[in-house]
Amino acid sequence: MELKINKKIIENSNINFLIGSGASVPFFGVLSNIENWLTDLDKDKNINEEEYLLLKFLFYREYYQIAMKSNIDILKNTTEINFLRVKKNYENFFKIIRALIFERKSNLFSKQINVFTTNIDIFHEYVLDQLNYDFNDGFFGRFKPKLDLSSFRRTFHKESLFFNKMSEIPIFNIYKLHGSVNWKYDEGEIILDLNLSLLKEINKLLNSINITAIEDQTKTYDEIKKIITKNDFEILQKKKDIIKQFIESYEKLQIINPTKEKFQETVFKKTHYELLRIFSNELEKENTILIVIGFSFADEHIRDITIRALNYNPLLNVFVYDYDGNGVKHIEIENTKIKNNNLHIIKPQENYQYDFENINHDFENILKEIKEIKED
Amino acid sequence: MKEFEKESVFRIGEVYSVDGRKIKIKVDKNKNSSYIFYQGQIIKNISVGSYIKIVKGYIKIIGKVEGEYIEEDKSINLAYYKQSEKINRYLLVSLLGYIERNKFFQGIKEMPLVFNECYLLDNKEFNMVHNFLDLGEEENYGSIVIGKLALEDNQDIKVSIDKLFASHIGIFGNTGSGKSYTLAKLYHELLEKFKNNKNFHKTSRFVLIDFNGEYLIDDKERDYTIIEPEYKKTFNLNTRNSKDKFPILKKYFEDIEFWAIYLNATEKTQIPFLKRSFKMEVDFENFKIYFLNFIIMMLEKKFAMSDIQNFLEEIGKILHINDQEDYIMFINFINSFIYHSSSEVYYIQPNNTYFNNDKRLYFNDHREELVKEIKNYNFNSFPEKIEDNFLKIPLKIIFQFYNDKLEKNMNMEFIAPLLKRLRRINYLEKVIEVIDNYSENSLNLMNIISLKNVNSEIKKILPLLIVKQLYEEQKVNKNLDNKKYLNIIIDEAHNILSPISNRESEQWKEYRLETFEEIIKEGRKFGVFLTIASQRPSDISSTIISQLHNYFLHRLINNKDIEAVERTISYLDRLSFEYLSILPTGTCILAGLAIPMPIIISVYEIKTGYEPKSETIKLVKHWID
Repeated sequence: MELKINKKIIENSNINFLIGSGASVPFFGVLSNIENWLTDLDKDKNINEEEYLLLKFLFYREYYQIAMKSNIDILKNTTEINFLRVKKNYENFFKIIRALIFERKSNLFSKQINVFTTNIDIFHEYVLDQLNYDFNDGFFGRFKPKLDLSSFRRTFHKESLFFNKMSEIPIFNIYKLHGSVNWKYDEGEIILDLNLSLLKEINKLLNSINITAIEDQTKTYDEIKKIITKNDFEILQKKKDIIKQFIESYEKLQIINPTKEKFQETVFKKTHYELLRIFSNELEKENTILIVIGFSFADEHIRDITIRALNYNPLLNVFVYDYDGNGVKHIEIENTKIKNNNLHIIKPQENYQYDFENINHDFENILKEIKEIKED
Repeated sequence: MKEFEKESVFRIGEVYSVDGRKIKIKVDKNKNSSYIFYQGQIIKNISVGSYIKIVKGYIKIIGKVEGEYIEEDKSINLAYYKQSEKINRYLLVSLLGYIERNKFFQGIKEMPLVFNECYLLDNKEFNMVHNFLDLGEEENYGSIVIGKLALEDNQDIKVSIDKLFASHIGIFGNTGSGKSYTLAKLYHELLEKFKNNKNFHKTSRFVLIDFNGEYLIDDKERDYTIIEPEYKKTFNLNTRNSKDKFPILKKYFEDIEFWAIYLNATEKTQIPFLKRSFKMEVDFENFKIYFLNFIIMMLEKKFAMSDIQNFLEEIGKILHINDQEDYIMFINFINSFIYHSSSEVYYIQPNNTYFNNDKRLYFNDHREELVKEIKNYNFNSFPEKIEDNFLKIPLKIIFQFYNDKLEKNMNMEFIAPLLKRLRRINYLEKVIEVIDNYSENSLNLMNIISLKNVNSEIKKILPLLIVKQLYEEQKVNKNLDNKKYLNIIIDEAHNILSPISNRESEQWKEYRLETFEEIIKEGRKFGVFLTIASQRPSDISSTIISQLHNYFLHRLINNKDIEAVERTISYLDRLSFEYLSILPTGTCILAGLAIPMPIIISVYEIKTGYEPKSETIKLVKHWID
């Protein structure tokens, strides 16, 4: 019998989420071809320096515009409809999961919920902050918050006013496996860039450069190479400094670029592997579940760790939400042979899609079984 | 490798002490959650009521957890500890059986030793423990699923049909605990499974006696309760306005014992009188003539005029002709006879309306003339002959009564009350029909008899009459044909199986209980099985309860009922017994011959339309506008 996520499972497990870019759609786009472009660019040997610069600029700009630029709007509290939709999804998600954990009276399982995400946008932190929920994002300190992975897994207790009774508070650990647009390299450390100054700087630089846009993201590397015009090279000549400056600033971002060779800074490289190690450790605990939302396992690091854990930990259950039932195409883990039968792909019924909103419905239904949900 | 891995997951502790049948187990510290995930399955962790495997060498002993408690571990470093490490958990386990060659056996061959390792049952072993079927029963038609294990969602409970339905079944539980539902579910599943088999129809009959009318609806065409209309016959009996009638064979209808009870006949005087009456030969073929002769005889024997009047009235009542014009004229005519006390003879006054005569006509002098007159008396409302069986018995009794008076001239005061009770036959007439032989259509596969609309006398007597007949007939049939099967189902059985009742006579009580106790004790030989359901087990004869083979015990609140169950049911263990008062609706303890140990099951839903009509009324819904 196919195992489904139900209250028994939520009640008796260490809960981990893996959230991919699907969760931030439609406010942010998905990566599509950028990884291939950048990889092809690195491999391309018949290319001069100017062409290289121009293409790199184009690809970075594309990625920036799809996955990063709008973070600035989040800080500005935009009222764009797509933003409000995604924000609502994140809000509901955290609310429901927190309620599920809050209602769970068990001293055997911690009240921490691990959220691993490959998203570099700031939705997680932003929404948790707005909700006034406690969370660990790995940063420690006030004036210059530094990333310190040991600050994860801090537990929060609250003491009641009257009888000095202690109670643990549910808390979210947000592990940003691919870094974040609000991470900034600073003298050998990763610090928190609260107002996204780096992004704003990049934005300013971009506004002054007007080079042909890629427009169609499904284009191949070679096709893009052909759309570069003479005019573009002229602009490049004039504004070479600004373009170089853009690339330089961009590469200061503590994020994983979608290339096979992903790292700019060794500090970040180390952090990245530490985060993956934590991910791997969490999956090796007993009675553990990993719920995968909006993630297709295209990232082979994460895929390999997950498959290894599935094979070596029979006490683990992994649930993967399949967006439209075409998982064979999208979920690159689906056909993997797992000896413990503990990988569960959750497929939607016909004419139904497991977008973030509908996934939340699933959890909401579990919560409804447990308690009445108050409307607020 | 895999085996080691599995052991580390499934091991929950080791034996700590063995004290007679009570085993104490110390639980490993990390095994305290209610479920354990293993290879994509979720497995219930140990808790009270669950099973545990104790491994002693190659022997796998299965036990049931009956209790648990903790002791705090004081040696733990309080500054740095895991919550689950602080306590030591102990389980109290009673032994059930063992697993050998992939099959679970009840009973204990060897006791565990201290430090024997204890494991959770994996799904395969769990299935083994809950497989109550003999080899082959599963593949063929041999089993039905009635529900699932209450404590373990995924475990269907299959019960062997042979072991369950060739046994007497008791279903007990307070009202609202799901008793009727379980009953309906049991028989729905059984009939559903075999309804298309010709042999099933040929050999088997199910008769359900339903005191509350829960198992039928008025529209017979659309009555799907328990089974489709074409497989059943419903008798919606009613003593006010007659609807359906249950067929009773003449020989049971004319059973003296039945009438003695029905008419509350006293043992010393009334029963011998009844016996005489039944032997009395009344000429029903020429009833009118017989009747007139009887009147003449009364006149000849110089009965008091009041007796003759009573006689006429009683006969009139029985025949429902009291207010017919010619009947009244006849009475007046009889009344015109006057008794002459000095000459001790009847005479008729001159100028009487009926005779154009101017002198007194003395009966002895003018016998011929008067008799002729009486015999020729022409009243149409009186039947020439009597065919209705419901009339014959009371008429016999009345004739016998006056006959006795006539011949022995004895004081009939002790018998007279019996005559008054004869009017009860009117109710009986409305609910049964007397037949000479069973026909094909008399009974169907399933027969539902609703006693919702009958009065309390019929409620008490009719089930007995029906059951007695069914049982006796089955005895005869069984001798002819060894395959016959009869299942008598009585819902709300306390109505008729109570050993105590102040309202009824001892003799009736004995007769009633004897009949049922005989079925309980001897029925099996003749292929007759009883299923009784009741909310009041304490009101049912303990002989009957204790002789049942399989029990479905729903929630029981009343202490007396729980005691009755405890006293009489030997299959129940202490733990199940303690569950009795806290079972949720639709959940019951199944215990008895059909399964090796008592289990708690949640009864599955019946297909819509087939369920009994026994929901509790929704007050507020009906009260608000």
